[in-house]
Amino acid sequence: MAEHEINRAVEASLDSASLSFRDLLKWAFSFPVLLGTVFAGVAFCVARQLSLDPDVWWHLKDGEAILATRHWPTTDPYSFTVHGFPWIAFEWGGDVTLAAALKVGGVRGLDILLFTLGTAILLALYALATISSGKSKAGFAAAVLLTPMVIAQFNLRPQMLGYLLLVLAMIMLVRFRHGKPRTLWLFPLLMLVWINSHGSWVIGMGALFVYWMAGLFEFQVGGIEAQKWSPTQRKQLSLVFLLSVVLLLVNPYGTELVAFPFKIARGYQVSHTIVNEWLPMNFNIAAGKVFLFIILGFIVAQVVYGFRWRLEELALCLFGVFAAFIHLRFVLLFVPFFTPFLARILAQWVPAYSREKDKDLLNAALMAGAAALMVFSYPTRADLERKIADQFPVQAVQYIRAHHVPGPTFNSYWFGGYLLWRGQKVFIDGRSELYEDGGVLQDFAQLDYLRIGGLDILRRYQIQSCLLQPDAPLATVLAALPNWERIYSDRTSVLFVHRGPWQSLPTSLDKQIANVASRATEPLQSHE
Amino acid sequence: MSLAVQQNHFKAMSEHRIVVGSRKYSAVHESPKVIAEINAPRTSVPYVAQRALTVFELLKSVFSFPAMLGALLFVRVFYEGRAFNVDPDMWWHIKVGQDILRTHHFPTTDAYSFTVAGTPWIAYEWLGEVILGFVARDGVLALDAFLIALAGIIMFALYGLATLRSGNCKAGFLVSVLICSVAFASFNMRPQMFGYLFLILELIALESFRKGIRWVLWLLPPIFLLWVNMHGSFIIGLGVVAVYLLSGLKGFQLGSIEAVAWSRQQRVQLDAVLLLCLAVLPLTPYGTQLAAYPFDMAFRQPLNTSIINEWRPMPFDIMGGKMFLAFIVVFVMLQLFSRFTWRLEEFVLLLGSTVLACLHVRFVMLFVPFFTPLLAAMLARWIPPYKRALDQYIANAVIMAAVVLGVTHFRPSREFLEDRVSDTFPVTAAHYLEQHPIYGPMFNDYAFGGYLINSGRRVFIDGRADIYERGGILSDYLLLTKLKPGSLSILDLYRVESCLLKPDEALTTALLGSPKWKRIYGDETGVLLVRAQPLASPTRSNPGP
Repeated sequence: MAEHEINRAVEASLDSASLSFRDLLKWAFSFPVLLGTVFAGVAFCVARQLSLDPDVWWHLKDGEAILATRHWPTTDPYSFTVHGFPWIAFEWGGDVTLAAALKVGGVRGLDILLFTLGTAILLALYALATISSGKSKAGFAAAVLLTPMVIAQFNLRPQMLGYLLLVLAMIMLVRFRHGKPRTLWLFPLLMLVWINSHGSWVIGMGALFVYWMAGLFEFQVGGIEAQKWSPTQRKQLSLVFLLSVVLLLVNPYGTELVAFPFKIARGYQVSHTIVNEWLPMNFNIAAGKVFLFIILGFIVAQVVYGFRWRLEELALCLFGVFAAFIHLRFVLLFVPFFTPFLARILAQWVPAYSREKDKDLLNAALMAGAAALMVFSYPTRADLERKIADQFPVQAVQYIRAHHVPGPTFNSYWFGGYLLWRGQKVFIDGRSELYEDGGVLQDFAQLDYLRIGGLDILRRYQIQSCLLQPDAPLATVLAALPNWERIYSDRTSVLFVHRGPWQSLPTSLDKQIANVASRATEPLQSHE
Repeated sequence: MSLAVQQNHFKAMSEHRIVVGSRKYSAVHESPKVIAEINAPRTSVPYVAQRALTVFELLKSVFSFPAMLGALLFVRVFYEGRAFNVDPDMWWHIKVGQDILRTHHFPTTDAYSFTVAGTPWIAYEWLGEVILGFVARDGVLALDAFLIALAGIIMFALYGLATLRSGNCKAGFLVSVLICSVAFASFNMRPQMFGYLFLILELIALESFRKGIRWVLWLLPPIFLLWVNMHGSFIIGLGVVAVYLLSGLKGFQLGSIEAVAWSRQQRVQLDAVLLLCLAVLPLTPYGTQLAAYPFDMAFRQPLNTSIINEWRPMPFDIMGGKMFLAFIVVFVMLQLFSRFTWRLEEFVLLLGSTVLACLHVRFVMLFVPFFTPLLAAMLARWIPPYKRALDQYIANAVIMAAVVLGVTHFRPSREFLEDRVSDTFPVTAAHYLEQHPIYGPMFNDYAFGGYLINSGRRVFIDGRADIYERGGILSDYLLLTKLKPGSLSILDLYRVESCLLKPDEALTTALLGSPKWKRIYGDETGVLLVRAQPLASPTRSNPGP
C-alpha cells in the first residue's frame, strides 16, 4: 500500500466513528510515530542545556505583572531611562504563558515548557514535511536536515509560540491545497491566539493572502505552475481571511497591537545594527553553514531534476530565503516555507513507509526506552539554577541588595531582562524598540562601543554604578580609571562604583536626565 | 558516434550556442529569427580578425555598436573609479614596489615594522607592487588614472567574456553594467586587480577553446607566469583549468547539466597547458615559496581569515550584499522559468564561487566572472541580437567622442584626490609627526599602517596580517583594540610611547579617558596620543625612519 494511501486510510479511519482502539494503538506505535520520538529527544537535549535568551526575564516579569494585577501595561514601569514612555505588552499571551509555567513549576516548569514547545515545533515541521511529500521518511529526513537551524532559534520567548503557530498555519494551507478544507476553519482561531502571543501573526496572514492570490491564476511556465481555486475554495479562503482580520482586533490593545509589526518593519535602524538577531545571516556559525548548504543543494537539485513548484509555495519560499539572508532571526520564516520543498525533493529517493513491515512492539519498546531515558536524565532544579547563574548576574544582584550599591546603575544589554525581573530599575533591556524610541539605545551604543564622547554618557545620566560582563570593553576602561572602583566580580559579571560626585550639569537637557537618574532609586516590586 | 562525427556535432552545437546561449537547438527546427542570427556575421573580435581588414573595416569595427557599448561601460567604470576609494593596503604595496625598483633587491625579511622586524617575509605580489610603485611616482593623479584604466580593462574583458558566451553583445553589456556595483566592491589599487584580470582572460581563453579556437589556450602559461608573480589568486586559475579538464573527461547529460567530452586532441592540449602552467610556477624570485603562499594563507592563518573585513562573510545588510543576493535569486527564477542547460564546468564554477563569496566577501571577485557570462546567456534569449547591417557608425562615433570629452572634463583634480586620501588616512597627522618627532614606539590603527610605512615610519601593524599573525602581534592587536580584560598592559609590554588611532575607536575613547594618556593632535581622520609620563628617556631614538 502506498504511503499516501495509508495516510488517507488512517485519516479516513480517524474521521469515522468506527475507529477501534487497536487501530489507534497501532498508529501510536507505528514507525512514523517512532521517528517523531527522535524530535522529542532532540528537543529534550536542547531543553537540558537551558540556554536562556536574556529577553526571557522581562517577558516573565511582564507576564507576572499581568497575572498579578489583571492589568495590561501601557507605559514602561521597569527602567529609569524611559520610565513612563508609551509601551504595550505586545506579546502578552506568551508572557503570561511563561509566567504561568514559572509559577506552577518554578525553573523546572520553564524547562518543561521549553521542551514542550520545542517538541511541538519539530513534530509540526515533521508533519508538514510528511503531508507535503506524502512520505513519512522523506518528511523525517527533511525535518532532520532543517533541525540545526530550528534549534538555533529555540529559546524561551513568545516567538516560539509564533513559530509553532506558523507551522500549524502552513499545515492547514497545505492540507487545503490537497483538498482537505476542514482544518482551514481553525485558521481564524489560530490568529486569535497568535495576535496576542507574537508579532509574527502578520506572516501567517501574509501566507494566507499569498495562497489566495496564487490561486487566482492558472498557468504553467517552466518549473512554476499556478492552480486556480474552485469557486468554493476561493469563497472559503476569502471568508477565513476576513474572519481572521476581524479576530485580530480581539486583544487588549485593539488596533495598536495590530499595527505593531508594521511599526517594527518601518525600521528601527539602531536596533537592526546592534541586536544580534537582526544582523544578516552569519555563515561562520554552524546554522549558517547548514543554511548555505541547503540553499545550494536546492539549486543543484532544481537544475538537475527540474522540479515543478506551485506558485504560492515558491513565492513564500523565496520570501523566506531572502528574509533569512538579510536578518538571521528570519530563519524562523525560512524553515516552514522551505520544508515542503525539501521534503518533496527528498521523496524522490527515500522509499515509502511500508505498513506491513512495521514492528509495533519494537517501536513501543524504543519509545518507552526513550521516554524513560528522558525522565531519568532530566536535570535537577539545582542544575538548572546553576545554568542560570552561569549566564546571568545572580550573585551580583544579591551583592547589590546586601551592600546597598548606589544607583542609578548602568547595565549590560544582556543583563537588563534579568535585573528587571529581580526588581532592579534598569538602564536598558531587550525591549530595544522602546529604548530606540526614547533615544536611549543610541546613548547605550555610544557608551557600549566606546565611541567618541561615550564616557560622557555616564556623566549625563549621573551613573553611580555599572554592572557589566567581565570581558566588556567598558569594564576594561573603568578598571583603568581612577574614579571608578571595582567592588565585585565573578565569572558572570563585574560591578563598578563611581567615587566622588559628578560635575554639575549645565544644560536643561542634562537636568532632564538628572530627573531620570532620581527615578532609578524608586524601588520596584522585587522578585525573590 | 565516431570521433569525427562527434567533433562535427560539437562544432555545430558550438555555432548554435554562439548565438542562442546554452540551450540546444537543432537548426532544422529553428525559427527564421534564430537562423538569421546563426547566419549573421560574427561579432566577436577574434572572428573579425580572421578576415583581411581594410582600414575602412577597421574603422567600422572601432565605431561599431558593440564598441560603443564598451565606451558606455567605461563611463560606468569612470564614475566609480573617480571616487578613488583607496584600500589601506595600497600604500605598503607601493612602498615595497618602490624599494624593489630602487634597490633591485627582493625582500626576504620584514623591514617596515618594529614588532616583527627581521622576521622572514617575502613580497609575494612583487610584480604588481613594482607596477604600482612605478605608477605612484607620478602621484595620486597617476594612481587614479591607472585604477580607472585597469578597472576599464577588466570590465571590457568581462563584457567580452559575456558576449563570447552568450553570442549577444547587448546581453553582455547589460549584465556587465548591472554587475558593476558588485564587482567594484573588489576594485581597489592593489595587485589583486591583476589577478582579477588574469582570471577573466583565462576564462575567455577556455571559452574560446570550448568553441573550437585552440591556439588561444597556449596563452595560459605566460599568463600564469605573470600571475604567480603578481597575486596569489593564480591558485584559483589552476583550479579553473582543472575543473574544465575534469568536466570534459566524460560526456553525459543530467537534467539541465551537460558534460561535453573533450576530443582526444583537446584533452592532450589541456593536459599540456596545465602542466606548463604548473611548470612556470617556480619561475619567481622566491622559487616555489611564492607558489606555496596561498596554501599558507588558507590553512595557517586562522586569525587573519576570521577577523579581517574582506575575509568575513558576505554582508547582506548593505547594498552590495543585497545586490549579490538579488542576482542569485534572479538566476534561480530564470532557471525555473526557462530551464536553461549548463555545461558542467560552468555550473560547478558558479556554485563554488557562490559558496566562497557567501563565506568570504572578498571572493565576490570570483563570483563575478563566473556568473556574468551565464546571466548574459540567459538574457540573450529575450534580447534581440546585434545586427551589423543596422549599425549607425557616425552616431556611435559621436557618442564615443562624447564619452571621451566627458571623461576628460570630469576627470578628478589632484586636489580632489588628495582630499579623498586625507579623508581616510592620517595625512596631516603624519605631517605633524614629521614636525614634532615623538620618541619611542608608536601603536597605530591597522588601517593606518600602510600609509605610515609609505611615509617612512616603522609601524606596530599594517595590512600584512600574515606576518603579524605568525609573530603573535595580530592577536595582541585584537586583544587591545577589543579592550579585553587587562589588554591595556599590552601598550606597556611593547613600550609604546604614542598611539595614532581613528577618532571613533573604542581604544581612543579609553585612552582619552585615562589620566595616563593625553591627546596632542587630533583631526577628523586621526588622533595622536602620548603618555602623560613617557616610559623612555628623550635620548632614545625613534624607531621610525
